[in-house]
Amino acid sequence: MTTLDRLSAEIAREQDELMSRGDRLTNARRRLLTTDVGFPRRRVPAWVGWAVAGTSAIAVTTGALLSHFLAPDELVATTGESNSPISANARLDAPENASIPVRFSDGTQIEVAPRSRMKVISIGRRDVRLAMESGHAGFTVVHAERRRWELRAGPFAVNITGTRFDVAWDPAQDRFDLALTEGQVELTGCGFSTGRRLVAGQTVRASCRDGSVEIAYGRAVPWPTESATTSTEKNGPAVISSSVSAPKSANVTSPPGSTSHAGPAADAKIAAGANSTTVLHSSSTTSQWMLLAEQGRFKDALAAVDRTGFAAECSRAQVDDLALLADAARSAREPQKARRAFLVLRQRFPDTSQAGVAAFKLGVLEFDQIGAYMDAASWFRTYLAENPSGPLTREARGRLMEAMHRAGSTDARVLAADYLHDYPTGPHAELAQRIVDAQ
Amino acid sequence: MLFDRYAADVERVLCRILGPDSEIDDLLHEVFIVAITSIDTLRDAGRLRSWMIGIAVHKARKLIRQRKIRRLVRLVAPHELHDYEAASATAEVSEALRQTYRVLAQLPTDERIAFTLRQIDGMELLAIAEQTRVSLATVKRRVARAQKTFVTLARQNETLAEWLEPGTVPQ
Repeated sequence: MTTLDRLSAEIAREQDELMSRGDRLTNARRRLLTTDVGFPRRRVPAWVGWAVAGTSAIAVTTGALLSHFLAPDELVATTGESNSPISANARLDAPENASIPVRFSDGTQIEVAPRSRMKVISIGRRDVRLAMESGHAGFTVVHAERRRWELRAGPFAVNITGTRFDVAWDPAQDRFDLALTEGQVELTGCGFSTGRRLVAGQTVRASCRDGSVEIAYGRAVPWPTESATTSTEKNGPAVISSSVSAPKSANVTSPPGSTSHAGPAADAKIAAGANSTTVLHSSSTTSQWMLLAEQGRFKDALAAVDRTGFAAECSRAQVDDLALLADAARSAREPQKARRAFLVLRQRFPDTSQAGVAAFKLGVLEFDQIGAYMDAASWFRTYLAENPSGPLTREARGRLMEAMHRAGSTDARVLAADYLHDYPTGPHAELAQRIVDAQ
Repeated sequence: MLFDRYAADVERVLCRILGPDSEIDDLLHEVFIVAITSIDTLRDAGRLRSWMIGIAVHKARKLIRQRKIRRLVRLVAPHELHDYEAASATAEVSEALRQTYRVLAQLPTDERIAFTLRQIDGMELLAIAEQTRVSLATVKRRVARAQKTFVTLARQNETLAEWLEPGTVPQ
């Protein structure tokens, strides 16, 4: 027997065991008996199908039109934990070691990386204009009809529809980088002349000075980690770390009506003496770590996330992606990161089934990787309280009993007796019996 | 009754192909609804079991493909495997099960089906050919290709790598 056969046999055995213990067939039988099957099946005339499809299409179109015309056009941008509003001409000046998250009322999110500067030129009903003055930022822009987003970076301009991308602009080096993860953008300006469209997965590097444009597909590009810095900033090694909330030290200012900012040219002068180092940055960091995680390369996945900031990814990932990130951290034996991701998941998506599963997995994490049995027990109790008849109930009760036993609690015996009563052949039955017999 | 006789087989095939999946309950139900409402299309009563399993395979394949399409347009997360109560008290086996289907999700649908039915379920190649309505040669080719891909991907998986060593693909 090969090792593949051995693995397959174990998988089959586990599945057989699961099937033999479940009550799926009983439930399915009951469900089938209460279903009006309509035997034999009536053949529906084709015209009925077309009529239904036509009616549905009209309904969908009407809904879409209503949704379009009723949708609010006002766009509000905020930053920080206190959701401080951002107005036109505001400058987002991220400090040395934290990023600035910006949230728009339509769901668009921007993260200005540490030591980066971005200016909000205008926020209108029909258009939003931003200027990347230096450093880099991550964009997740929600597409909306009749709303135009434009990002300027020195002589370059990015026309944005609904999309996800990272952009970097180094005025000192005259270097523009963009890595597109989702959607499309159109680039104009030096080297791109009247417009160049990029699609998801592409990365571009351009320089206005020599007119060079380099477009690649699905490969990593060097990403500037030390870009323009003011003369008061240090030129230490660049580490892109992020914070979920707006850092206290973040400098978000709204200059008076007539801006006195000298613009990228001035930044170039300021940054002329700055050192510049590079690290490899994913062309599409988000999808790259997911791909790595799906392949079971959890450490590599975490390394990819770390390049742009674990906390930042936690703050912007959707619930399933966040669960995947937490699982990847757990599998990579990074309990602190796994715990953080699970906690953020529960905080951001409290009403989802994933939140309950996160409670269970936090218990497993505390138990298996940290050895904090009372904390583990607390999380298993949380799971059971939130999901009294959830899919992991038996497992959670077994684990709770085991955690209390390891912690030396006398409650373990009561839990063991209850477990044996409800799951006499469960996976923790043997341990439960030993606990009951020993005390 | 049809259900009492074939439900266990249908459930087993769905579980083998899909792994731990929250939609197996619904698929099991759908398989029998389809079977009951189209039993008149079955010409050879002696092939009833095979016909039932064929419906299950078809339903599972349809679900996998729908998910792949939805995933392409990012309507669902890349992983649909749901957490389940481990049958064994050893975390290694339950984790191996989870990771196996995570890896299998990366295989082409037809290769995944051929692999799970042959490698995990132990179904005869001829039976697989019948269920999937392709030739025996095609099934052999799919199984071989799936084994090779699976082992390659599994070796990159930190959990499964421990289970596998070089030379595991049957020659």
